[in-house]
Amino acid sequence: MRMIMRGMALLLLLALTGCGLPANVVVLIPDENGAVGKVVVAENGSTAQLDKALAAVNAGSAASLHNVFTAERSQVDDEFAGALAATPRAPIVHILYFQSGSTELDPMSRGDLTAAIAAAKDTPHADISVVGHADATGADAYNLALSLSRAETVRDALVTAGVPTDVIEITYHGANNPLVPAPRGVAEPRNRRVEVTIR
Amino acid sequence: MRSIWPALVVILCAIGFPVRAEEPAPIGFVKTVSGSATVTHGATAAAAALGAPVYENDWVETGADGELGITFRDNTRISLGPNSRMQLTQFVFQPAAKQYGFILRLAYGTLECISGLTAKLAPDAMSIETPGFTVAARGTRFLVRAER
Repeated sequence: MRMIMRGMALLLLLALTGCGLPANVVVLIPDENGAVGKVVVAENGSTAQLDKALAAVNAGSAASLHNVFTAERSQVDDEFAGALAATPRAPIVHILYFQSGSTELDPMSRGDLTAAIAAAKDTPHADISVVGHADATGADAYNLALSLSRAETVRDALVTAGVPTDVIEITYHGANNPLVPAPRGVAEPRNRRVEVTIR
Repeated sequence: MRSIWPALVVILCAIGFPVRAEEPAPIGFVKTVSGSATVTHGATAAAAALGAPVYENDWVETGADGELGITFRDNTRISLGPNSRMQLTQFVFQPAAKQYGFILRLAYGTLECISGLTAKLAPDAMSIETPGFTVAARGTRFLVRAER
């Protein structure tokens, strides 16, 4: 009797591991930096939270959501090979800092501008965001105009270096989206910046 | 009672027809493609090309040998494996106004998501919907398969 039970358990184990991931499935995997995020799968009022590497759930029915399991990496790589092969490369972000009340780049950011230009020229089919910011000294209208002028300065540097102007999108936020929170009227060099994203 | 139509036509001509909205902006661009893959914009289906723009409400589809990857304006990256079909149902990314919304509808197939700024700035704003279930994407990297 015990032999039969053991045999059946073994068969069950083989059946579970041998037939791959469920037809409807969600798997959380580490990102390129090794960090693991969190997703919540929902169906007909039931939910399952995935927050560990390779945590997976059969999303075939509300009842099956109760059983979160750990997927085999090799199985995941095999069954999602196509999607994983098509991952676009990670966007590259450079933050360039500016002198107070000016569109003059902080000398420390010159190397980053060179790096941003190189990345823009190296990326096939790049689309580029250039987002200007100001710190919270000065009036709102002044800061908006200044953040636009800074973004235009960076855009012009990219275009001068040979990046096509029509792949660059400019936006500007004045002092509304500080990198470092600072009271109104207080100078904060880290907020006088242009963020360049090369996708 | 005389018709107000002549007056209305004059006013509309003067201010421009309000229904004529400005051209919609691309929400992302095709960054990887292999095999057969199609982007359908309105009534127009075209083979997905590297660098091609995608817009809100577009459908993206891959064939049996197809794969495709898109990077969105919020830095989210989505890729599809073979035999997959998805709609870019909603994309609102306006950090200046703090307005965010990102909904993808996976009709069937396999999808990889590496979330970007939307999931980071507005953790409840991004989801992947399938016919059977919904995935709320708090971040960052996950895989979804929905049966056809």
